[in-house]
Amino acid sequence: MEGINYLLATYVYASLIVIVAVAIYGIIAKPNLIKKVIALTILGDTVNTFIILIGYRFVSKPKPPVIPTLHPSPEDIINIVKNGVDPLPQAFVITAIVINLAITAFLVMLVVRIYRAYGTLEMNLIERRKGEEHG
Amino acid sequence: MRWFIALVIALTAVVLVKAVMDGCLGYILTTDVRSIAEFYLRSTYNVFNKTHWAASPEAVNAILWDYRGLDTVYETTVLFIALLGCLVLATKLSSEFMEVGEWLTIIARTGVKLIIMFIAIIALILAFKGYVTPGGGFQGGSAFAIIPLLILAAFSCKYLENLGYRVNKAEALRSLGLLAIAAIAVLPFIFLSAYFLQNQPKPWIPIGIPHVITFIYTGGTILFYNLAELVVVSMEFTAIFIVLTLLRGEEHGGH
Repeated sequence: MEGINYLLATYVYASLIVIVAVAIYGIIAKPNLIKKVIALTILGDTVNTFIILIGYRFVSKPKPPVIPTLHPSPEDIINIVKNGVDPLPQAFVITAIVINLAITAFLVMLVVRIYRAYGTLEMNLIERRKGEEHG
Repeated sequence: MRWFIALVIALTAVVLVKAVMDGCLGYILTTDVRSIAEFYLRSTYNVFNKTHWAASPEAVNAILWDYRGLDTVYETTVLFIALLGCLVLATKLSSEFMEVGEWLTIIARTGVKLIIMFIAIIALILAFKGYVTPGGGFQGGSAFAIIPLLILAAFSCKYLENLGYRVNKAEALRSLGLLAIAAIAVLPFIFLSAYFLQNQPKPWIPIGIPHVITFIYTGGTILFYNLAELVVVSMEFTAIFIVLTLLRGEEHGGH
């Protein structure tokens, strides 16, 4: 059981690191602004998954941080303290997701303005048209 | 340039691998949680020791609106400012572009009409039951914002406006929700010298909303925060969707 858990965790962390690398590649290398925004959202979601994983607990039956009854006995509370996953990263991630969404909307609005001004979304074309305007 | 990009990405991957292996991103593969998480899990609905309890069986909502409520207040502020930026950037929108896009087929439209009812029910349940089951104001609001999105996709902006969704109205409702959150958080703080965002009565400050009203469990103030947040988030995203659709219409009209 321990070995399987360890293998699974290694696999998940490895894939998350690969996704972070891909997202950073997209942000740096892609000339299209919309593709940059998409890569940014991928990066944000991957980081959120990282944070959620930090709160995970490798006990045999991990529980969500919810007490399943409105009239708990002392055993219920001890059970949740022994087996519940960390609720703090989840609360942070809710905050982060909503802020991500708002910032993405703001970025899309900026991209629309850029498209109106220059007629294109390619970074190198925008640079060239800017040079033409000044020159 | 290519080599530089490849180098940057490889370096990022190596640094992340090293960080994860050294445990810099938190203890991984552990059977324990941090002591602060244990405190939250123990005290969130501890009916036997009510000194620090939040009256909410769900610890995430208790953290969001009670233990770390100030975080959420500032987060709502960030949301508010981001939407303000969106609306400022989308100036000169006129209603002549309201009839954007073509209506989809009657099958799609009927399907949307049926589905939005269920989405509304799910969103309301997520917000109302946020303090006992996984869910809450943000999740409910995000789910509720799907309704105007679906209507925009299947019908048009004009149709949405005839239903009563307008940017101005959405803004007004959102401001009302924000005011409600501010009132619940600040008014006891000013007039009753309670804590900012106080939820349950403490032994030294016995002020708070009872966690059971007749037979309805409220989770103290958490239920009201969740409902206000449902209005805030759903109306914010409704406004953003309408503005984005109008921008697309303007692009079409310009050509």
